[in-house]
Amino acid sequence: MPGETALRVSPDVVAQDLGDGLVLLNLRTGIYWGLNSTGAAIWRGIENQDGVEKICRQLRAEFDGSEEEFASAVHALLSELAAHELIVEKAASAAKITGKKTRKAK
Amino acid sequence: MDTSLIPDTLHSSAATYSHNSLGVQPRAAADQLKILLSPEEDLLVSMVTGRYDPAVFRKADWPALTVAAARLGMLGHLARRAEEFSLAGVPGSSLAACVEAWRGQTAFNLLLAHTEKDWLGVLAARGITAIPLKGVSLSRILYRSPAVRSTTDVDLLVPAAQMSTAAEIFEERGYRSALPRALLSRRAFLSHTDEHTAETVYVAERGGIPVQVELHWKILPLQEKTIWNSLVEYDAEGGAVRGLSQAPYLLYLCAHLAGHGWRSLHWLADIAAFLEKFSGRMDAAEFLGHCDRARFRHRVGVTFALLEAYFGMQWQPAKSLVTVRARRAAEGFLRRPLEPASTPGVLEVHRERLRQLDGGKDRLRYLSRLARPTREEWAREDGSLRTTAAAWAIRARRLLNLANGENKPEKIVESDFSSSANRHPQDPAERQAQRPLERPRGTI
Repeated sequence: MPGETALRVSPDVVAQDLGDGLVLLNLRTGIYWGLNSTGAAIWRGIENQDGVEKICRQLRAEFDGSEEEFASAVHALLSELAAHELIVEKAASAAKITGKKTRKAK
Repeated sequence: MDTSLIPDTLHSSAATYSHNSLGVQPRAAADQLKILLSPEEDLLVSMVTGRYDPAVFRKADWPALTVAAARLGMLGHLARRAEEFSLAGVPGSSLAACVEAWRGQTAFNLLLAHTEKDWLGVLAARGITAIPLKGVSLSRILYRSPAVRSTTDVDLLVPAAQMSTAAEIFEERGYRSALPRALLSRRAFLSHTDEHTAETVYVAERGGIPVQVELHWKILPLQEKTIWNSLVEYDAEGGAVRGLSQAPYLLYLCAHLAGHGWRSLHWLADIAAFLEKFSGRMDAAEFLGHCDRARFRHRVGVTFALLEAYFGMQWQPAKSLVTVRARRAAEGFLRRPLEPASTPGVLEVHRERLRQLDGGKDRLRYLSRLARPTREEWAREDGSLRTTAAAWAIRARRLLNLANGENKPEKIVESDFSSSANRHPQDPAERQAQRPLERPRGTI
């Protein structure tokens, strides 16, 4: 489960901000993906190696929604990104991306 | 010297080129050359200059506009204004196809940007000086985004003396070229090439996508040191770009457009953007000097006549180049349909190039160069090289065949990747717009 693992952007993936969203390209597979503006905000958080809590805080500042909705959206996206190998497990032990909730669960 | 840009004043909305520091002046509409454009092409031209009427865009046939933009390499220009169009009342559903196609272009440009950066690093580490030409780098410089220019490959300029080593590195890394490496060490071959032929194309696959890198060793008929001793760093999105200084870069962009028969609107739009950005700091005397030395006065004159016709743009220092002959040639180009680079036959290409040379001596020089063997005569199919005598003999025979009416198409222009349908398979039925991570958009 990505939410419990330290994750980072795959070295095979490059991204380009298009204003209202983002394009991700997996250089290894040649497949590209689109992120809408919410997804782009989450992606920037991943790039910055922010924790889930910080990403949710930033989403709250930009979009309407409850804390649960944001947390759920972030975890769902992390799972999906990991499933498509757009983000990968981080080699280092620091688990910033797991955020406060995960740490509590531990 | 006055280096002002002068836009036309036919449109009253905000003008991209109306920057006061450039000393913009109104220009009489009577100067306009006659342009034949479809409604979609007309909209795309007005959009480039920023002098468009939102009401016209609201009523536009957006599917047709998107197709026209893709055909003309203007998709990025159109899509980056999508937000403005949305504000102007164009429904999001109308913009969807355009934005979708732009994503595909963006993904391909990301691949090229990565390839270019990778190669510049690899070559530098092996002691080879290389700079990017046009491509994604120019998009980053001019439009602050790698995604705006329609780009098909990576173009790098390498000093002629380092070409053979560079080619060896490309082969080491799995790239393949139709041009045998041994030819790049043969002085007779290198010295016979001109700005149209001094290049070799390397191809490899990345993620199943063919990526093409063109290595050039001569892009202008100027001394090599003139090019290499005046490199500059451009401020660009994603990091500085080291490249040709402004005057030779502008000349190169004009020569490149001319070399392709002035067929592509997006390359003309690049020159307009280049002038808009750098005319204030460019050494106009240096530019004109390069024009003279390269014998490119007419070709540059035609380019500026077209800039004036399409975008209402004039650059005072280049005014003397826009002669009656240049205007007449431009008028001819304005009467033909706007199309991306096409592949005319060999004879037509040479005829057109001969027509655009500055004078009689240039035509003789061009014809004498045509008599010299090219890569096709120097190299056998197995990659081995022929002797000088054999190469000359085969060239002579080929020219005789041409003169006798054989006119096979020859690839002299970049292939057209501007159609998003070809390069970026899309399937709107799979769209899942409500989810943060949308479906895989496709492979590029």
